[in-house]
Amino acid sequence: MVEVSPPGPVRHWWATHPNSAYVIRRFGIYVLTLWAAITVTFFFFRLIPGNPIGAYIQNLQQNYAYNAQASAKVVEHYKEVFGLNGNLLTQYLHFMRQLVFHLNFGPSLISYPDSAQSVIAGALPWTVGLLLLATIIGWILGVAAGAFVAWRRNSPISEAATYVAIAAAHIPFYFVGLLLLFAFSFSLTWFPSGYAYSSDLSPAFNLTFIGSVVYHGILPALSIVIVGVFGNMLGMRQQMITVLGEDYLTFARAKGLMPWHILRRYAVPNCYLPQVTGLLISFGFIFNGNILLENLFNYPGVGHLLVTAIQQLDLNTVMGITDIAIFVVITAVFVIDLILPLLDPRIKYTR
Amino acid sequence: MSAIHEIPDNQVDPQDFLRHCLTRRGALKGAAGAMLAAGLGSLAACSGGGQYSGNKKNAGSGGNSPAAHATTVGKAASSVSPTPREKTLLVDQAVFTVFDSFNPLIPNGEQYNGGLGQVVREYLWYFNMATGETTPWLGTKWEYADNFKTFTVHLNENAHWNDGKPFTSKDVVFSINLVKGNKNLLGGGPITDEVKSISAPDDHTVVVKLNVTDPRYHYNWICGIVGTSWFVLPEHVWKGQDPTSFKNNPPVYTGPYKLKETKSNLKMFVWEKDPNYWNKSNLDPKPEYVVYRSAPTADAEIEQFKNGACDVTGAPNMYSLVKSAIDGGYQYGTITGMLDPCPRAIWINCDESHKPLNDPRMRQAISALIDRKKIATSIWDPASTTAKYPWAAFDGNKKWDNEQIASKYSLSYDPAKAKSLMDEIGIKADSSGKRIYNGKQLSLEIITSTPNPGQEYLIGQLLAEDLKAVGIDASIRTLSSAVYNNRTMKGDFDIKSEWLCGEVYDPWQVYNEFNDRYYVPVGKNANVNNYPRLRDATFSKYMDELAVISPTSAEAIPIFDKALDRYFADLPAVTSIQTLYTHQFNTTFWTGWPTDDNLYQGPANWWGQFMFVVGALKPTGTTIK
Repeated sequence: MVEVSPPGPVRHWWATHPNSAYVIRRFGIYVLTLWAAITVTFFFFRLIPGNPIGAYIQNLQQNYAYNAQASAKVVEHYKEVFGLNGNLLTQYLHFMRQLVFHLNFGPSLISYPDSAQSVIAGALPWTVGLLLLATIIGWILGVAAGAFVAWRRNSPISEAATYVAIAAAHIPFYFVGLLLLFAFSFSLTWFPSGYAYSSDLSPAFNLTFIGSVVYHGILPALSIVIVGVFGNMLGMRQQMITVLGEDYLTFARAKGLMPWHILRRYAVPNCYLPQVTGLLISFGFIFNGNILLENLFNYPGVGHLLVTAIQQLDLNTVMGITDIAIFVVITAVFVIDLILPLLDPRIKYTR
Repeated sequence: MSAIHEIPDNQVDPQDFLRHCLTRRGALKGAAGAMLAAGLGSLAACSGGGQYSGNKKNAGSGGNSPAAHATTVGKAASSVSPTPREKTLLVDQAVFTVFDSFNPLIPNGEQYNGGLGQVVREYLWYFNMATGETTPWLGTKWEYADNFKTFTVHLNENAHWNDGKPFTSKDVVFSINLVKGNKNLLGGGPITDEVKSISAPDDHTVVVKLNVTDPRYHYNWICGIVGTSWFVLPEHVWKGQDPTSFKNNPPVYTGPYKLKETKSNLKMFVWEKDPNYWNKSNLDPKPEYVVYRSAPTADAEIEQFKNGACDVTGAPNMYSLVKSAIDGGYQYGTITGMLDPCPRAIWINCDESHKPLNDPRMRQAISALIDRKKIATSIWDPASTTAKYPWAAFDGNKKWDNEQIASKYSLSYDPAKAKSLMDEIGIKADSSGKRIYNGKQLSLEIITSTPNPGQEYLIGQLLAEDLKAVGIDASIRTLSSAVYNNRTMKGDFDIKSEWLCGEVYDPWQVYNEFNDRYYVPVGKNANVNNYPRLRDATFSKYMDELAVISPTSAEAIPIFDKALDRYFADLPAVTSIQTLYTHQFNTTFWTGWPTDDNLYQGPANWWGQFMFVVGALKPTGTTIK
């Protein structure tokens, strides 16, 4: 008879605390994924041929400011400043050291000597304010509308709404924005055609300024909300329809519960998990900004900044924006994994 | 040998200069009004896009006449302006990224095209490319002595900074020494490299001792294209600061406007008139405010332009949109054409490693395959003219032309000649028509940084088609700017489709780009010159001879002719067309813009000379409902 040695204290704790073990394991995967994504992104951008500083000087010259003189020494100096000296591994180690120990992406080429994070920080509130709000509004309205059209799926209104949604959900934000711009700004002149607030104001925490921000945000936000509502509506409708034939709903009706109560307490809670997951993941993409929309409305967000940074090969700012988006998406997925059991008791931490 | 320039040949007195502009403009206003009364209107003139060709500005002016002005416009006209619209000149430009720093000595330390380099910072002299005149401003005269090894500058005694402190020679000395003493700063080059010593014998005189003979040293002191490579900085502001991080905010310069505020979220610079401007007697602009902003998308900008919300367009491709608006009846737009100083050009790699392109006859063959007329009329919009010489066809450049020399070379479309030249080299066509070189079909790649359907791309594409037609396997490829620049510097290309810049005051400037002394082997970075790796000792000898004599001296002329002959024989960069660019202005609130008939100044809103355009504008009296 083989004698089985008792498990060590660590294994014992691991076995007796499955929820904590899951969180630790999941956190490890989170850190590993984060590191891998940042590393891949770093090498991806650094593999773009060309020296950003040399290109910057040449661009100055080619944009007719070609009187600008720059010796090789100047180029070398700024390569050092921007962490572009040495081989790729040296650059990578320099970048990671700056990022991990100092939370610093390095100086921004497009706004030197400001740091990339301070440049991003200036644009981020606008993007987050606009896109986060629009995404949440689009999600709430879309989920509610989706639940309704699924519940009343045989009514002509629901059918019509579904057909409209199938078409509208696939229209790009940019195109909707363009239509809104021409209709409500250029033709009817009800709304401004761009910017985040009126040009005669300066940022301040008062009603006039906040009102101006909201007024200027209506058209770009509406572009996102319209497309978002229809997209979320279709997703929710699809989920609901699979649930509507379930026995527990029939049983609820047999018990004589009110239809509204059945919808709210029995049908919807069993459908919105994929919607919540989708919403949280979409938050991550907010941090990239909506490039086309921000450019269309001249909105000072991250999308606008990303385009400018890419055009000038400002690798530190591009890396900063990308890494923030990566961080948010991966963190959102991590948080979803942790909170889903709270939303749906059927989901367990243990395998 | 010494040369003294009290007021050099091509310089004018500022007062005469402005008087001249205003007189001509006044006469033109009357003429335009008469045209309108006769029912011709100004719109027909605009529809052609206009074309500047020397003194004969052969297209009409735009709607730049008093009769075309509205009296009231809708509120949309003020939707963009942060200041009272009737008092504001609103200029659209590229995407701005720097708002809190005005340091020209570090990369992106300032937004030079946001009004700073146009209405705030001034230069010692201004070169007017449209007229060929040089206007003294912060400087009054320069002198050479000691065989062009001593350069003396006299400053305007009235000039002062916008903080009230006097503008003196000590500021000039400080600025040059600052850059000379710190090799990590931008703004160096010949202006500092050639300085042996610099001194200020009095408050308004600067004496520069040069370590080389340089009869062109004064070029560095004139605002030619866009600006200069260096700037005079106020010593009392910069002294003791770290120039690699100092923000110079608010910017202290001498111009007619100073900073009111920047609006980073709106990508705007708001400049207001300096009531204490030093040179008001010569330049007293009417707009109280000048606002530079990043242009919105072209779709949005054209609508704002039609509403009178912006005065000068900035987004690419606005020419066709404004032209279309004018053709559709919009009355308050005017389009002004002006040649770019850089003709479009095809660059050919001359290095031994790029056979057979290293053979000048092959480059002549390629030149004979460039259909210049087709490019000028079918590709370039608005239609332009063909180019032969490696400079723009401004009146001031006519003196460098030499038809007798040019006629010896293949500078017009002639495929038969191209074939015969290739036969001569031994690149013969096989039975299927393919040109064989070293046992296989000759293959050439044309690169450009302009994406399809950009014009440089289309020029390259047309050349590729013509190369294919004579049996060469040719292709055109767009590369990203960084990759393109990298390959350019390393000499890693066969043919490039782009432009040829360099000549502003005399041809030596462009010829010298191809001097042997800048040759580095393919694969190593050529820093700023000789990207095609031309090696021609005779041509370089001419460059070295010209480098030490005044370009306007009698002894220089025959050498210039010999150099032109040699340039055409070498053809490292073959010009195809004169580059006509247009500038779109709105006349709702301001009139007096440069027009095709009265091109009193270069109209580019990112050049230093734009200050004179702002100075010539008059309010129309239009108000907002």
